[in-house]
Amino acid sequence: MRVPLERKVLNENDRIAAGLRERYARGGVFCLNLISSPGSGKTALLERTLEGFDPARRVAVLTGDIQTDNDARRLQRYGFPVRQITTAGACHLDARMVERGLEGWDVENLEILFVENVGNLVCPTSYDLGEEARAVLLSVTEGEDKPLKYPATFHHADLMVLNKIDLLPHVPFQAELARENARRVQPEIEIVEVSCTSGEGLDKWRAWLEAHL
Amino acid sequence: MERETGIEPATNSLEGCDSTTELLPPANSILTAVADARAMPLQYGLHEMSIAAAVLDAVRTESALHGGAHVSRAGLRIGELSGVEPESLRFCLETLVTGDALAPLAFELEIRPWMRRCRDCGAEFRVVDYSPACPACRSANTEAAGGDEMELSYVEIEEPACESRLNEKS
Repeated sequence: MRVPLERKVLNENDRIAAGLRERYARGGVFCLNLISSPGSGKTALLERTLEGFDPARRVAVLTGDIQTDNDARRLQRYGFPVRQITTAGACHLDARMVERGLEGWDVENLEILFVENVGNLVCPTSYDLGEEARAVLLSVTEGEDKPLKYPATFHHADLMVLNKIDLLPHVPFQAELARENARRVQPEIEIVEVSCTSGEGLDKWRAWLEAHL
Repeated sequence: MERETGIEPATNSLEGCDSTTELLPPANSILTAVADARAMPLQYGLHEMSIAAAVLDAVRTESALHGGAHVSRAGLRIGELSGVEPESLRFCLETLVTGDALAPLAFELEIRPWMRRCRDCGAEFRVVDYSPACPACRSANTEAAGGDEMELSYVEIEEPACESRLNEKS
């Protein structure tokens, strides 16, 4: 006997994510899920972002890695609450890890919650973390064709942050081609170009954030 | 909220494990680790393995909803944009089901194409060569219309009535 179904495989993850989303909505929290390859500059972008915030702002960060709390150590210098989630091998964060990571925090009282995913351009895509928006980082030392190679990730992103643009004179990266590739996969994607080293473009990134609060 | 500045202890995603060191398989137990396949997704980081474990949980739930009947076949709908590699998922499903109480259980994977819909002429079309433009009217004003499915689409349940009839005959 065949029983037809439409059961989402990750319905348990989706259920927890929906609960998180409801909590964020109740408190007016903007939750951003940051995804990229290892080394594209997620932590550097967060460092520059936290550095630029008034210390009175209600901002917090959950940062995911397979091992070490190095990223949390880097990010905690700026005085905002930071927690490291070590996944002990898992290649992505899931909603349950985020829910546990938030334990004890007055989440509804935050303005912004950054969730820095595990450095991986494939696996985090499938897992809803209850975020309001997803940002994917691409750095100019990578290939312009990354959006085509990892379409699922770029297709689900609201924003592409093109990072390390201070290196453009030294690498063969064609920024226009990267933008075009991202828009082929996700025509509505917004794009900001930044350098976390020189600070160029960070005003546009901050403006994008503020516009979503 | 109360301002916290220190780094807090790592939040572990595994129930019943208090430190990451406990998660590492002992050096001599690679076979044990393989046998304990449900621990594999976290130890080996293959996300298809965690998805396969979720599929088996869904099959168990369906079996329970049907009075514990054996599920002989499960259909999965996997979209091209789901982030799941179908062959890798199949491998993980077969690995996990071996030796599990769910065995024997066959899987059928249906791949769903990456689709968009034209906001101007309404046509739904498959995205070919990453082109988001409508092939019917050439409009660039299109929206996502599928391809991120990751669903259990059916289960085939062995009917206990047939089994009891067979038993009567024998």
